[in-house]
Amino acid sequence: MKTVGADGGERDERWAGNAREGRLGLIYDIQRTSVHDGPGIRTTVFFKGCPLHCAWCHNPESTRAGPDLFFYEDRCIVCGPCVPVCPEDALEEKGGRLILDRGLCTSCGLCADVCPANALVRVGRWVSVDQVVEEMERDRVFYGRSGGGVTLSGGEPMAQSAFAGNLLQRAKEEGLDTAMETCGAAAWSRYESVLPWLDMVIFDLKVTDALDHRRLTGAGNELILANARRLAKSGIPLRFRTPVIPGENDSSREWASLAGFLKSLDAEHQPEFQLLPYHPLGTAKYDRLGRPYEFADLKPPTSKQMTRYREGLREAGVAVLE
Amino acid sequence: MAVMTPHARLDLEESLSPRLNRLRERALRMDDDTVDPAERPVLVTESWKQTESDPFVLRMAKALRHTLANTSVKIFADDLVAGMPIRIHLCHTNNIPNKDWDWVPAVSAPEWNVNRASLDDERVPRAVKDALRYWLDKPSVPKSFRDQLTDPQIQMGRLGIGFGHGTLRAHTIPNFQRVLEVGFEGIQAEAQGLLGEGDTEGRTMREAVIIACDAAIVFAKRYAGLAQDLASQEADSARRAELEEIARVCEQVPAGPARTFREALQAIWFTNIIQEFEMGGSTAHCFGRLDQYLAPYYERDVANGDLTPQQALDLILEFFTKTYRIYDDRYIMVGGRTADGSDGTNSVTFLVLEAMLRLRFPTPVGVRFHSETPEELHLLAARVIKLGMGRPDVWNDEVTIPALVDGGIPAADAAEYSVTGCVEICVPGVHDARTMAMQVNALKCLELAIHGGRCQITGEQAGPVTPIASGTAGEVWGAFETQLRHFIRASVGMSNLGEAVVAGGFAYPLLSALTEGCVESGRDIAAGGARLNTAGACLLGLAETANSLAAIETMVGEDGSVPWSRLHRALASDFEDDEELRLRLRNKGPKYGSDDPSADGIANRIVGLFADELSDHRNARGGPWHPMIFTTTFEGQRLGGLTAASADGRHTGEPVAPAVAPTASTERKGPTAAVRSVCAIDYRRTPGGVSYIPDWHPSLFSGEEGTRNLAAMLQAFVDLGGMEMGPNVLSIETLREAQRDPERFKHLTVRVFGFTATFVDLTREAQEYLINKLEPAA
Repeated sequence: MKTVGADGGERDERWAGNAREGRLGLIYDIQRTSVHDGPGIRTTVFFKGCPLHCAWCHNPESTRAGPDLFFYEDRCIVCGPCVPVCPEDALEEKGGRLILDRGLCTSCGLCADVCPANALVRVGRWVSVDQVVEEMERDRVFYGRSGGGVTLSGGEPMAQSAFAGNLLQRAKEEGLDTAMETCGAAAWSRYESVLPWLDMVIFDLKVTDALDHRRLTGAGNELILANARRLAKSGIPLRFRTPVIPGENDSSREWASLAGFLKSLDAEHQPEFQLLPYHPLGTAKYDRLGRPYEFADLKPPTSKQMTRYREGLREAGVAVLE
Repeated sequence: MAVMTPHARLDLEESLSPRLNRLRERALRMDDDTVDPAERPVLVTESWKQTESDPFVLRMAKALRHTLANTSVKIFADDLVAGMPIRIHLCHTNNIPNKDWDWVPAVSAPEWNVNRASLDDERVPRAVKDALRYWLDKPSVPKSFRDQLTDPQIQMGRLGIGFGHGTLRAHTIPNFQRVLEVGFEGIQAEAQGLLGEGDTEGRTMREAVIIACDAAIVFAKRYAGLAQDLASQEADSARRAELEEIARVCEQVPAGPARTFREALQAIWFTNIIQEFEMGGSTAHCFGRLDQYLAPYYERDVANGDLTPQQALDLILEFFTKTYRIYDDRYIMVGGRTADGSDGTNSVTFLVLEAMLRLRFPTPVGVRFHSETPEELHLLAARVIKLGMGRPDVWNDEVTIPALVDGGIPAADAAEYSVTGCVEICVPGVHDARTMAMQVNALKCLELAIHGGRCQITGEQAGPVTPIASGTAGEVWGAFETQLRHFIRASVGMSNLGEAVVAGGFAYPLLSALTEGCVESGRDIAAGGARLNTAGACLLGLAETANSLAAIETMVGEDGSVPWSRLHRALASDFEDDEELRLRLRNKGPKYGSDDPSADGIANRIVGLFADELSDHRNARGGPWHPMIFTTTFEGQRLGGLTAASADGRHTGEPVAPAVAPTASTERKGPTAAVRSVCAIDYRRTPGGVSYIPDWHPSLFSGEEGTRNLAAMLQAFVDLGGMEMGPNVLSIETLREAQRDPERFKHLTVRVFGFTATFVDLTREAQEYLINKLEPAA
C-alpha cells in the first residue's frame, strides 16, 4: 500500500520500516566546514525535530519533527510557477506580492521545487544512512589534518536514535571521529544505544531550575539532569554548554545552582564546560518560517558580562573554557 | 619578552626594537623616497645623446651606467642596509600613484613613457622638458607593434576575446645565487672570457653585459664612499662603527662574493634597485627563493658566533621596511623542496614569516609546501594568514614541480621554481617565462559559439560561424571548442608578433648578465638568450564558462526543461523578459565550487582543451607555451564588461570570477567544498601558474584552535592536489563591502556555535553583531 507523505514523496510499508529501523532519517542540513561543534574541521548533520522548544532557539527550523518551508520574501520575483503546483491553494499573487497562507500550507515543498529564485525553500528531507555517509566522506582529508570529524546536531539526534546510531556506527567503521550535540531530553536507553560509536558528547545544560526550564523550553529538566549525571559517569569525553540568555538564566542563584550541579557529578574524567553568549543571528529565520519570535528584542550579553560569569563560575570551582 | 617560536631553534623578541619601529614608521610615511624623479630623464637622455653611433644594446648599458654613476645616493639614520627605497617615484610611470610625476621615463625605454602633455605642464622642470623633446621623433616600439597588427587581431583585443603582446615586462627573477657566489666582477670576468667568441652580435652583447656589471659595481661603491664620509663626520661612536661597517659591506658586495648573511642581504637589495633602474614597464623584479639563498650564510654565521637569530631577523625586518610600497609585486618565495628532492625548509624560512608577524606589512611572500613540510611551518603560515593581509599564499610542490617537468622544464630547474609578480611561475636565474604573453576569454568564446560567431555587445562577426540546432551538450561543446581553438591560435600569433618586435627593439644587458644562457649564447634575454624560454597563456572566465556549459547540459540537454530557443532568446536579450530563467540558471543545477563532480569535471575539461591546443604551438623564441589560469580582479571586471549574458544566469557586463575561483554567488557548500572543487582541476596542465583567493570569514579560524584548523586547510589543499591558494581572511572593511555589494560575497560562510549562515543573508542587525565581535581583535 502506498501513501503520500507530508513532503509529497510516496510512502510505502518498506519506507515506514526503513524509517522505523533508522535506515532513513529526517534532517534539515548537512554543513561542512563546521568549526565549533567539536574538535577540528567537521561536518555537522542537523537532525530535524526536538523535544524542547527553547524560546531563544537560533535554529527554529529544527524543532518540528516534520518538513518546514522557508519563505524568503526578499528573493521572490513573483514569477508565478509556484502558485498552480500548490495542492492546498496556499499561494496566491496579490498586489504584486506572493502571499503564503501558512494556515493552509502543509510544507510539502512542491512550490520550492519550481521556485527559480530560492525564495521558497524546503526545510527537512528524508535521507538514507548511505547518503549522509557519502557526504561525510567528502571532507575526510580536512578531518584528518585538523583532528576533526563528524557531529550530529539538530534538532535532537536522540529523537531519531536508531538513525543516529546507524550513522555513528557507519562513521566509526569508516574511521571518522564522531561527536553528538544533545539537549539531553531523551530516554537513557537511547544514549546507551549510541555511546559505543561516539568519541564525544556535547551536552546543553540550559537551566538547572526546573520551573524556569519548563517556562523557557516547554519541558522539565529532571530527565536531562539525570542523563547528564549518567553520561558523566559513563566516562565518555563530555562537554557541557550553557547558553547565556540575559535576564532568563543568568541570575546569581542560577549560577550557584549550576556550579553545584557540575561539582556534584560523579565523573571519571572532568567534563569540559563552556558558556555560549546568546546571539541574534537566528532572528530572521522566524520570519522566514512565518512564526513569531518572542525574544526578537533580546540583546546579547556584553563581553564584560560574559567575563564576569566565567570568573564567577571559576571562583565557584568550575573549570570554564574560554 | 623572549618567546619560543614554533621553530624551536629560534629564540626571538616578540616586538620590534625602537630602531625597527622607527624604520617601520619611516616606511609607512614614505618620505625617505628621495630620488628626484627629474634626475632620471635627464641622465638617460644625456647618455643617449652621447652614444648615437653605438649599437642599441650598448646604448642601453651605457645609459644604465651613466644613471647609476650619477643618481643621488643617501644613507638615512638607523640604516644598516644601504640603498635607496623606491616607494613612490618608481622607475616608470605606470604604477605611480602621484600623477604629478607622469613624465618620468625609464632607462630602458624612455619612448614608452613620454607624455607630450608634460611639455606643457608648468610643474615639469625645464631640464626634463629639454630631455623629453629629444625623444619625440624617436621610433616607438609599442607603436611599431600596433602598426603591424591585422584587423582581426585588433578586433579580437577590442572585443575582449583574446590578446597577445609577447613582451618582457619585468616578471623575471635574476640569478641572485650567482651574484652572491661570484659577484658582478665574477660575472664580468665570464663575459670577458667569452668576448671573442661567436658573431658580432654576441660580442656586442657581452660588451654590454660588462658595462652593465660595471654600473652595478660603481653604484654600490658610491654607497661605500658615502658611508665612509658620513662615518668620518659622525660624532656618535656607535653610529660611526655602524657606518664603517656599511662602507665595508658595500665595498665588498655586489662587486665581489658575499661572505656573510648581511653581505648577502645587501647584495640582493642592491641588485633589485639596479634592476628597477634598468627596466621599466612593470615592477615585478622578484626575489626568488630568498630563504634558500640566505640559509648557507645564516648557518655559517650562527655557527661561527658572528650572528644571532635575532640579528638575522632584524636584518630581514629592515630589508622588508626597505621594500615596502603601497603596491608591491616583488615576490619572495620560501620553503619547498630542493633540487635533490629533500625538504628545503630552514631557519630563514621561519625568520621571513616571523618578520611578517612582527612588521605586518603585506610583503608579497609565498610559501612552498609539500608532503614533508614540517607541521610548524603550516602553523606559522596560518598565523600570518590570520593577520588578514592575504599573505603568504601557498604553493604545492607536489603538483607544481611535475607540471613544470611536463611543460618541458628539466627536473633540477623545476625543483627551484619560484614566482614573479602575483602567481606567475618562473625558475630563478635561468628562465624567460614571458608570463601572460597572451590571454583568451573562454566565456566570450562560449558567447560566440552560442551566437554563430557574432559578438553580442557590438553585433560584429568576430569568430567562425558555428551553428547550433538543438543545444545538445555535444553540439554546444563542439561549437565552443571551435571558437576557443580559433582564438588561442589567433592570440598565439599576436603574441609571437609582439615577441619579434621586442627582440628587435629592446635589450636588457643587466638582466641578461643575471640570466643563465644569455652571456653563453651572446643573446640578450629579449632576443631569446635565456636557457629556458617559455611563454605564459592565460585562460579567463573559467567558472562562468563551466557553469554555463553545465546548465546547458542539464537543463537543455538532459531534462529538456529549457528549450534551446528559449535560452538563446534570453541570452540575446540579456534576460530582458525572462528573469525566471535567469534565476533558474543561477540557482539550480550543478555549479563549479560546490564540490559537484559534474560541474568540476566540465571546468577541468575546459582547462584540458586549452592546454591541448597550446601544446601544438611554440612561442617565438622556440619554447613551449605554459597554460595559466590567472585573472586579476580588475581584468575580470574589464572582460566581464565586454562579455554578454551567459547561461549561468550572469547578466551582460557582470564581472567574471578571478582565475580558478568559483563564481561567488554560486558557491553553495562552504569553504571545504569550494577547495575540493578548485582542487579537482588537473594543475599538471597549468605550469604557467594559477591563482585561488578564497574569502574566509575570520570566525572560521578564531583562537589557537582556529590557527590549527587553518593550517589543516593548507595541508588539505596540498593533499588534494591544488596548486596555489592565497586565503583572504576577511577584515572588517571587507565585511562592510559585503554589506554594500552582497552579490559579490554570497559565498561568505559564517560560523558561530551550532549555527551557520551566509553572511549576506543575515539581517543587518546580525551582520553588525558579527562585525562588532571582530572589532576588539582588529
